[in-house]
Order: sequence, then C-alpha cells, then structure tokens
Amino acid sequence: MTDTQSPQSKLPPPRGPWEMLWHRLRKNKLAMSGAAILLVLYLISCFGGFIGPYGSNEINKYTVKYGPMLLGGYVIEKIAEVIDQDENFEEIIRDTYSRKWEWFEGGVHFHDTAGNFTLRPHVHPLREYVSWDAYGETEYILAEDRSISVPVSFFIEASEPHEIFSLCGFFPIHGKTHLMGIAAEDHPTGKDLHTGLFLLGTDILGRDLWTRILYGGQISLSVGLIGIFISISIGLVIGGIAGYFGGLADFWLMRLVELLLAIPGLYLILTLRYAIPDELSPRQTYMMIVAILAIVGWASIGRMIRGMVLSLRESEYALAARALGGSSARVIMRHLLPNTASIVIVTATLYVPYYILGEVALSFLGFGITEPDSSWGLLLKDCQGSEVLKYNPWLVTPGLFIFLAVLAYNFLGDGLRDAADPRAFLGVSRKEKS
Amino acid sequence: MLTFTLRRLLSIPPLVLVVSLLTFLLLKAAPGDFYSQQEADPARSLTEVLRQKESSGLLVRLSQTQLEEFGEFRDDGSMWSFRDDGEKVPTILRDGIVVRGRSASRSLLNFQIESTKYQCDDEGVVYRKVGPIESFFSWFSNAASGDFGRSYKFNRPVFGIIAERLWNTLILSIAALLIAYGLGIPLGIFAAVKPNSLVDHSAGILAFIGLSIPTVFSALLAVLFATYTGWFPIGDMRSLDYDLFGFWGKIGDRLHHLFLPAIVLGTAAMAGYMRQARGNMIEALGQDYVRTARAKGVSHNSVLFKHAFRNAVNPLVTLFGYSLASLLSGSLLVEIVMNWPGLGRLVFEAISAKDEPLVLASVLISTLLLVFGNLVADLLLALVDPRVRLS
Repeated sequence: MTDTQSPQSKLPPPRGPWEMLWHRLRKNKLAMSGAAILLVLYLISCFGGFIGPYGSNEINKYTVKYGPMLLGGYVIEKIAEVIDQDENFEEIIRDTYSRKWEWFEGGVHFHDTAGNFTLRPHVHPLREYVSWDAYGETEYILAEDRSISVPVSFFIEASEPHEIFSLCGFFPIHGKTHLMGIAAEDHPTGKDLHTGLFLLGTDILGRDLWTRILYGGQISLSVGLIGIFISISIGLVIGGIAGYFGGLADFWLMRLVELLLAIPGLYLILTLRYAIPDELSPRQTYMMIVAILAIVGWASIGRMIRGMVLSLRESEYALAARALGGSSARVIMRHLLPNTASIVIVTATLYVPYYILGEVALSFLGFGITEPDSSWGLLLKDCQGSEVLKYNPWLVTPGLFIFLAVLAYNFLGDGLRDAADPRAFLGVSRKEKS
Repeated sequence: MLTFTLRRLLSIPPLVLVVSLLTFLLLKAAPGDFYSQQEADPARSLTEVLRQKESSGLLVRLSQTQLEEFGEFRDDGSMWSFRDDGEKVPTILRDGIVVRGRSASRSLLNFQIESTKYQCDDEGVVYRKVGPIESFFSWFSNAASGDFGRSYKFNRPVFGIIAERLWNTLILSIAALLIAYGLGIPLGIFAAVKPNSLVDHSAGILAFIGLSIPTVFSALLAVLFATYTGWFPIGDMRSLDYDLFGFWGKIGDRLHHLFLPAIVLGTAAMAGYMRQARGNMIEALGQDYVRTARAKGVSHNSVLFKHAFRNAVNPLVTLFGYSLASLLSGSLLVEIVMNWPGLGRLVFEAISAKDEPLVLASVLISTLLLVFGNLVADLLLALVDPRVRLS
C-alpha cells in the first residue's frame, strides 16, 4: 500500500476492513491452528497419489485386515498343539497359532535385520502362518516375521503411472513417483512373505488404509467446498431478490425456504437420492452428492441473507444509490451484497462441516460414493458390525480425519466470527448459534 | 400471540400437502418400485406379483372390452394388436407374432401407449400402471380420511409400524436431551462462574470436540468401547431374556441399553448447551441487577443461583422444542450404527426397499413433529421472555 498520508502524520495508514479482520484473526490461536490443520489436510489430499505408498484401489488378498504399522505390529504366538494325520495316516503334530498386537513394538522401526540402529525406517515383512485347530481346520494368520527387516525407500518409482496431484479428479498431474514405499528389489523372497508399508493398516480387501484415506479426502473435503459455494450462490441470489423486492417474490421464495427447512434434513437428502437412478459413473455420483447437499443446504443461508438485505435496503447508502438512479441489479450487486460478505464468509466456514458430514452420511449408508472409489464415509462403512470392529479397530481411523476436518472448520469459523464481530473487541460475550 | 399461533397452525395443512406431493413425486420419479425385484425373480409367479401390485394400488386391471378398444398401436418400433380368440384373455400380437396366448413365451410384458404404461402377466391379463398424479390423489383422499396405506414390505397399515418406531426414537431423543441438559448446563454455568480457569478452558475444548465429532464416528467408537469392555450391550432396546426380569429388572435392562446411544446422540446438543449456558451466564453476571444485588450485600451464592442463573437458563430450557426436532432427524445414523429400532432406521430401510407408503408417511410424520417442535419452542420462548414479541 502506498503512503498517501501527509508527511507530518506519524500514524500508520488506516486499515481496511479485511485487513482488520485478518489482524484480529491472526491473534486467535485456535483459528490459526484450525487453518493450519485444514491447509495440511487439503494439501495431503491433493497430493494423495504421491504421498500414499500405493494406488487407490490396489487390492492385495494376502494382506487383508492388517493393523497399523505406525502403532506396532502383530506377533505370532503358539497357543496349542494338535495331533493330526498326514496323507500317509502318520500322526504328526500341528501348531495352533494366535496373533497378538504389540503396541509400539515391531511395525515401523529403526534397525536393520542385523539389529543395528539406522536412521532409515524399516518394516518387518508379513508372514502367513498356518494355524490348525483340533478339528483339522486351517486358518491363515498374518503376523510379522521379526527376524527380517526391510528398509523403507523414499521417492520410489511405481510400475504404473498414477495421479501425483489432482483437485478431486480435475487437473491431474500424472507421474510414477511415490513419496515412500518399499522398493521392488528390497522385497524378501519367500512363499509366505508379503511385504508392505501399511502405516494405518489395511482394509477388508487388503488395500492400504492410509492411501485410501488420502484419496477419500479428495472427495470428502472438496464436497464441502463446492457444495457451500453452490449453496451460497443460490442463497445470495434468492435471498437478495426476496429481501430487496419484498412483496410476492419474497412471500413465495420464503415459503419455498420454509418447505425445505420443514423436512428433516437427512430424510430429505435420502428421498432426493432415492429419485436418482443407481447406475451412475463416479463423476456423476460426485456431482449428484454435491447437488443434493447444495439443494438442501441453501435454504437457511438464503433466509439469513434475505434478513440482512432487508435491513440494509433501508440504509442511507442504499437509498443514495437508488436516488442516484442505480438500477435494482446494481444496488443489490454493488452495494447490498458486498456488505453481507464478511457474514457470508463466516457462515460458509461454519456450514462446510454439514456438507462434509452429509457426504459421509450418504456414503456410509450406501447411497453415495461407491467402490472402488474412496471417500471417508465409504471407508467407515467397512466398520459396520461389532465383530469387524472388535478385531479390526483401526478401520475407524477415517472417522478421525472427518473429526479433524470438522474441528478445524469449527475453530476457523469461530475465529472468523469473532474477528468479523466488532463486539468481540468490547469484551461482550458473543451470542452462540443455537 | 393467539393470532401468531393460529397463523402458524393454519400454515401447517398447506405445508403438509406440499411436502407429501413433493415426496410423492420424488418417490415416483425413481426408477423401479418395490416389486421390480420380484418381477425379475423367475421363482415368483408373475400373475401373483402383478396381483399384489394391483392390490397395492400400483396397477389397474383392464377389462376385455377396454383392451379391444385399443385396436392396433405402435411402441418401441413394433406394431401391437389384440385379438379375441374366444379365450378368457385376449391374444396379444407383436408385429403379427403371438406374445401372449397360445404358443407364446412366458415373461413379463411391458409396453407403452402414448404416455401410459401397461404390464401384462404370463396369463395375458393386462394392467395399466397408475400415473403419479392420479395415484397421489387417490393416496391423498385416503390419507385425508386417516388411511395412510399399507406398507408393501410389512403388509400392515403404516401407522402401526411408525407409531412403534417413533416411540423408540422419542425415548432415545428424550434421554439424549436429558443428558444434554443435565451435563451441559451445570458445566457451562461452572465455566462461566470461573472464567479462564482450568475448568473453563477444558469445558471449551470439550465443547469444540462435542460439536465437531461426527455422529457416525462417535457411534462407532461407542460400539468399540462396548465390545472391548463388555460393560454395555450392543444393539437393540432390550435383552433377549427381557421377559424373565422383574419390574425393576426390566427398567434397568432398558436403561442399560439406552445409555450409550443416548450419550452418542446427546453429545452435540450437550456441547451446544454448554457454550450457550456459559455465554448467557457471563452476560447475566455483567448485568446491572447483579451488581445491585451484590451492592445490597446479597450472598455470593444467592446472587449466582437466584439472580443470574435463572435469567441465564430460562431461554435455554425453552429450546428443547428445537432440539427435540433436530434430534429426531439426527438419530438416523445412531440408530443404524447402534442397531436401535427407531424411526430413522425404519425410513432408511423403507427407502432401501422402495416401500413408498412407509417412506411417505414417515417423512410426513417427522415433518409434522419438526414443525410442531419449532412452534412450541417459539411459544415457550415468548412465554418466559416478555421481550420476545411474536408477530
């Protein structure tokens, strides 16, 4: 900004309203940490193909339901011996195994096979142990073979090209590099050995959960942004028209808003989804979810904007603009709506979580994103059923990411509201949203 | 206030009409119906399925004379005609080839004349598909006299099914609300009395967590907790041996089952109440009447609990109408994850099965509850706070 002040003045140049908002926001630690969390979440999702060690749908039938290597590893335990007969009817002794989770033992560790400390992280390969029970039934149990350590390599080349960067499927940049992974030449050879870098474990199809979460974030996080953008656009247009013109337009538009608000949200979403055919391409599914959430979501925003425009319409500057011969469109677009900008931004930030949660609910219920795509709601769908959850508790990890994203948006939104609300300066407590 | 109440009440019938029409059209716009799967099932007799569809009001059987009036018509690029061969049902020909009647293959026959769709079973009985507007009016005239139809899936009047499930959802929502009030308000008040204390800060963080945790996630965590500790039952409202318990045993069993779902459902509301109670209390403590009371020498506790507390909490208590309405729809995910036989799960299952009368009635009932809940909340707020004017 150029200094247009008179040379005598020692005062800094006056701050514009956005600058003041930013200044106040910067002091709010919670809001800034929320913004930082969001930045990280969006960045890692966009670069998901690069950061994740595997492809988004790399099914591996040998590594089904293995725990998160960041937190420890499974170790095999012999729990019993059973006497069985081999093919020549000779008695032989078979072992019954069970696996035990050890927290922060094994998994990602920092020593090589010889036991020497290295800075390079290592993982143990997973071995399939055959466990026999007293009835002669066999079961394959996947656990670490702690006698071997495999180094984790950085910037490895994958055999297939994949998206290194993409904005939820748009503007993809293709490449072959993964940030980390296990190089093909490091894989130990052995029939029962299956080496993989599963930082957060694997899902019920043996896919790396961390990679799936990264790819899922592209969808779950962008649904919120695009959905709120559409909702705000509809809300601004309809709220602006209703508030400015009043009369019949106002009456009917507000009845429409009341209609949308009168039906319980999730029921309306499900009914709208019901009307759409099931056979959709992934891109169409995505568009459909965004459209449904935006249609349901604009109503409350539209009503709020209408209320603000209604009061701003009578303000002196709006009167002046009209007196100077400004057309209705010009008065609405140039004078009224920009004055609702700060509140619109605050509302948008606080509403984004509803869109994220809406996508999660739809996909979780089986009406949204479907396999082989990934979204955080779809990933949570795998944990339905207490048995699955009991033996594979790491499958709830995607919920943690949803929680983090919503929390960060709430932090940021609260901070923005305080910063946009001048009363926050006077020490008057803010009214909570009910 | 009377006019306000009357006007709000009068706005309900048109709302119900529009909501039911909207829901109805959305349901009809969906491809296929409840019977689509049965029609494709070779093990089911088509005659039987179509007869069921007729008794559900989806089809109307056409008489012989009506069919003969069609003469010849064109659909899908083929010529269709009906011929009376002296049998019970007419012979149907497509491009001159017999498709129903003697020496014809047996499968469901769909054809369309102008915009009306027809179905024909393997015996040659022709039905006309009832159009959405027509079936809406017949549904609506029945509904106006109190008959909301029968569920396709349960083959029972929808009201009986919904009443049962709604009661379960109400129990869950009220329990969640009690937890939200019982924990949220004391915590919020305590945080406000000692602002910037450890309690205040941890309550603030707790509130953020409670408001941000997705219901699906917290419900899954609760299930995980229950499986690992074994302290709580997972799913359903009562144990299998419920009938063997005594009176108190029954109540205890129900509370035991209710506890976790109610906590999960109540978390967000609790966090909201806590923040609001804190805000209201801080505002109340800054008011002149509190200073006056202090100056008069009223004891600290008396000022807190007689003067400030009542003013801070009054508006909160009246909010239960809004909360109940939002909990009703919010319980859907909890009910599905925690296997609670409530209205939300019913709607979800009905939508999955395309059980239209059930979906329609459930959406209507929950809409009514939401609207009434909001109305009660508005009225209560005006009753306890003379500054609120309803117009």
